[in-house]
Amino acid sequence: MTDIGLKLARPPWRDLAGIGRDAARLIAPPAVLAILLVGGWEALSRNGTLGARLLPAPSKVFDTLIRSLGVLLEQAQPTFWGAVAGIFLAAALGIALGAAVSYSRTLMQAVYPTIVFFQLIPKVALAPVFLLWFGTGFSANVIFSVFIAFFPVVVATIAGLQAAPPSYERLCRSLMISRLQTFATVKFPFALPHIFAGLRIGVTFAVIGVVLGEFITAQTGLGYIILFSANNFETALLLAAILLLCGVGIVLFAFFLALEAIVMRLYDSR
Amino acid sequence: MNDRLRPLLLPTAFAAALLLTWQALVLVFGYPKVILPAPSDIFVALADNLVMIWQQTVPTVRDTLAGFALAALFGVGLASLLSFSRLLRDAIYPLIVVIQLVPKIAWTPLFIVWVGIGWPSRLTIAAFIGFFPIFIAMMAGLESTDRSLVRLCRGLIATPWRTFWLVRLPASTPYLFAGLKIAITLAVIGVIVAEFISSSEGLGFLILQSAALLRTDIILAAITVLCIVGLVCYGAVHAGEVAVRKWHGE
Repeated sequence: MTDIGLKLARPPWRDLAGIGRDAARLIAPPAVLAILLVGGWEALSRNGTLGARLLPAPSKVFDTLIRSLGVLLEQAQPTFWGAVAGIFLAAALGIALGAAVSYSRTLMQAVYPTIVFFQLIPKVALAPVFLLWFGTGFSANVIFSVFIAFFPVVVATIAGLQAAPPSYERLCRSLMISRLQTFATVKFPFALPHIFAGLRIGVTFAVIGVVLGEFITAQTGLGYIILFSANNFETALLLAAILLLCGVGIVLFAFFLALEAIVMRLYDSR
Repeated sequence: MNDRLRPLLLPTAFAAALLLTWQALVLVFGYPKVILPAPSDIFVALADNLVMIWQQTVPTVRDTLAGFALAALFGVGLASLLSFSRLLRDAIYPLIVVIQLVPKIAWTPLFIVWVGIGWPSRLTIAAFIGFFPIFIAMMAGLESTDRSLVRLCRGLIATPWRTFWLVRLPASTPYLFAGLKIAITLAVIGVIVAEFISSSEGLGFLILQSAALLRTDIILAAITVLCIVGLVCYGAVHAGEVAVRKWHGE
């Protein structure tokens, strides 16, 4: 329909119904498929096609989750807080270093390739070295998590700080605005979407860093439970722990999505 | 310094400075080799154990490449299939996006329960982890196709298959290669983690075993080789991208 500059009055409930219908159209197909998959899995487990060791029925996994909830939640705590500490430290360090490096073109040309190099290499292989350096406790897991989550944040920050159109920067310079002010009012707001994209990757990495530390030291945490139950072929407990870990990952991811929405709105309303 | 050499010289100088500082720190403070071997120690360890490290590199590279190939096959295959059916796409795509968010490396022990402790499980893990970025990138690429071109094809009564082959597939290649680049690094990580957890071969196994023997110099030598492997694999994907672009006449 072409816009003829005429606003048609539409009752507000019509819009609401439209939103509801759109949401239903979006959610219904994956929901139906998910129900079919889980239902099929349950049926196959019930009639014995899938062994309980290989793939216990969803109902049994759920049952185990409820019965072991106390232990699982207790073990989820070091994992959750480790990942939280990991991503926040990585965010602070990554954004600060990204901003510092972007301050000088020479510095950036010198440092950026090294950072990209670290971004590309398989850093998880360094986990045993970190444990050698920092012991096998909670703090070693956090330090490793920071190390893994740091690089996507710093790369995104550096890329983002170059995203402001050059004409804006030239305008700032001709208005004799200080570099710090240009940074705060022009470059940083333009970098924010990039930084949040980096944080979204970083938060998944932070969880992985903690879990990997737990795999290797095998003392506490959901990573320990996952490895322990795999070694004992307690697949129901294994799946329950993975489910909870997915919950941890999604909660942290959702937190950063919400933070992004809030921060972007703050900048938009200015 | 002229402008052509600057982007090359500066990073090299910085990396060299880092290595020299490391070497100097070890020499001045005399850290024990178990805690922090100097770059020269790592080089000696690499030279002395070259054959052994090479023997462990072969299985790691084999599993990585095989897993990556499977991931590419399934990722591109499923995404292409979904581009033909609106209903299938609406049903499957959101589920995969949700699974994409969770830390999949943590599922490694599950695959060991399912597939066993041999190389097939490591290959499966690499394929599983590599699948998601390839699939998501391919979907984004297929959906980025210029609508008017698709409509033009329909107007010229091209079959859906020909539209896919001549229009949608070429349009999605830049996205596909972005996904492939993420997937190849993830495939290496998947194989290494699986080797950490249960294996008697591969660089991950060598690293963990050397950690138990407190041979930090061998760990870092193995990691050096692993970095080279990772960079070569990444470079190969990049070369593939350049070749395909040239073939498309860009």
